[in-house]
Amino acid sequence: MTATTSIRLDACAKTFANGIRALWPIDLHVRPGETLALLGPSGCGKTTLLRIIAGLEQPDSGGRVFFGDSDVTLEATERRGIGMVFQNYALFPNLSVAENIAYGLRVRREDAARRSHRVAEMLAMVHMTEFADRPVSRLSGGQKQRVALARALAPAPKVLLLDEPLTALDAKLRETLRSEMADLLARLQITTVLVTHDQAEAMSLGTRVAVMSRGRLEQVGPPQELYDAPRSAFVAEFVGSMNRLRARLIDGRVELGGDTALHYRPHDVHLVNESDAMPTGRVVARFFLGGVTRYVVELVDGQRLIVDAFGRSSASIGESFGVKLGRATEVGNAVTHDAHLSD
Amino acid sequence: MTQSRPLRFYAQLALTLATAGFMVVPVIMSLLAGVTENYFAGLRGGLTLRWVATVWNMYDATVWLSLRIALTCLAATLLLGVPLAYVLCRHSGRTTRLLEELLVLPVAVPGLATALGLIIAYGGLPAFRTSWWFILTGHVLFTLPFMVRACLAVLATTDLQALEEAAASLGAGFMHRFVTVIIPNAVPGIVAGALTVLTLSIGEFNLTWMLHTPLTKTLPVGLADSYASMRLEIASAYTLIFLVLLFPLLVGIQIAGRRLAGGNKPQ
Repeated sequence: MTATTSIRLDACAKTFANGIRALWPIDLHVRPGETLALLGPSGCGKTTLLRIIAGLEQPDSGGRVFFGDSDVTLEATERRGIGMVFQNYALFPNLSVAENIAYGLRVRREDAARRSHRVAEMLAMVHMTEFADRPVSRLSGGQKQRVALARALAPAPKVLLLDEPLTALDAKLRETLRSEMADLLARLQITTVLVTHDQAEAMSLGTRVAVMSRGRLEQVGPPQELYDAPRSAFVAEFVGSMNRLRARLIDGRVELGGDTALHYRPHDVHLVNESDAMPTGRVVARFFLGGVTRYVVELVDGQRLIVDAFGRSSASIGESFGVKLGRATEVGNAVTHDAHLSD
Repeated sequence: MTQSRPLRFYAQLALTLATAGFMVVPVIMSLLAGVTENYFAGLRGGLTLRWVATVWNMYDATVWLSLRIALTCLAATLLLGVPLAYVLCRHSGRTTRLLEELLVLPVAVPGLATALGLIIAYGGLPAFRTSWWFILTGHVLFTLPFMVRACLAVLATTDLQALEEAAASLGAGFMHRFVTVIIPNAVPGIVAGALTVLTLSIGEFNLTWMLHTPLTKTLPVGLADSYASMRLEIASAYTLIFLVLLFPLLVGIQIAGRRLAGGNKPQ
């Protein structure tokens, strides 16, 4: 069983030597055993935050990193007891699969018997037993990802850090490995921080998700909370798709235009007979995605809405419909960027 | 059925063989001269190892000194060059670029000038000036850039930072990372650099001629001496010893490099 720990960041900011500010002061708490997904577009500072946790970057003065009660801010990476999976895996090309997994155990001077037992255990865990002696240069992307995960977990780290671990893989493989990884993390109960720009990855792997934008935390919470109650327009639009409709609701009737905005998820908007609902609109684009068909509908005043229709749906481009609006999503007031968000 | 080869193939083959012959024939002639009784009589005069024995009796000290200097020079360039290549690779800034350029200066400047510089700077230290360490200093100055460049070329193609960070995340301190990650990934460069350093040091004449004393004569200096003052057979036998000495060393380094590299194949 892994001795896991909490992670706490106090006012961790980062300005690089060239003056570029990657992070504004961030407070964050990762509970023992949970998986926190750092989600955001590229350049939002999520990888820098992960590297600060790993000790690969130092926060600006005043920033503090705690593992449990210990202040590890000044501890070198090699003394933090972490396991890390890098975006391009960074497997050692001069070592075989088994030797890569054994690396951390050798560093800790584990005796040969314990080492080979642990390597066999890790190989079995990631279904790579038959590849033990293979040079890593002869592995596929998915196999490399598995070896990287086994290598990071072999020394039983207190904290697991995953930097875009599935990004380099094709879509189908990504889906398979995502579900394998979700099983594994749930089983191991190790404190994990996962960096990703893929919302599906963040929401399926993260116990909680921290959405980041331009070096700041926008919102931290369970995936469903972010989806149902986004605290800012950025979160609303980054987590899932969101329609922003300039309109007002007056006695249940929709009046288009004005300065106020209503937010609707695409699956909360429905296409019905033209006479059954107001406002009306015309289909201008249609994307068949398998289980769902996505329509772009232009309303009478020119505003456009995305509508998801589940199951078989055969509306065609140019056809007119009534647009029935379901539950509006409450988007909190724009979060002031100086606020420090915590859980 | 084999297809008949085009005329161009035979033309290229002939050109290759002619070029190889043009380069190899003088070497073979020289080697043969070292084992013939009389070069001017040719093979009809008979073969002998007499000249080789004579050279060995007269110049064996130069052979051992050259070997000692070359191997020490190799050790020094490995100890200085590999870490230096690592630093230049990891910290590519204006200062490191300048350092890289400065490092190549001894190659660009004529050997005689470098030797003169060394004599002016350290000529006042007689113990150093008259020892083989003085020649070694010249050789290290001259060969270090070749070791650094060879290692740098290989290291630059590897994502060193990622590999090092991975090793650190697994608990490896700097020295451990250097030995288990950096060096194994630099092996092809180290082997290429070692071959160059060894051959350059053993064959170095310009610098060495200026730096040597009668008691610190190296193989090439002795060779020049024998060309100038002995019969042709003796000088040729000397060349033969030179090649016999160098060949196993070069093959040995290649084999050691291949073993060290292990599974280190390009990804």
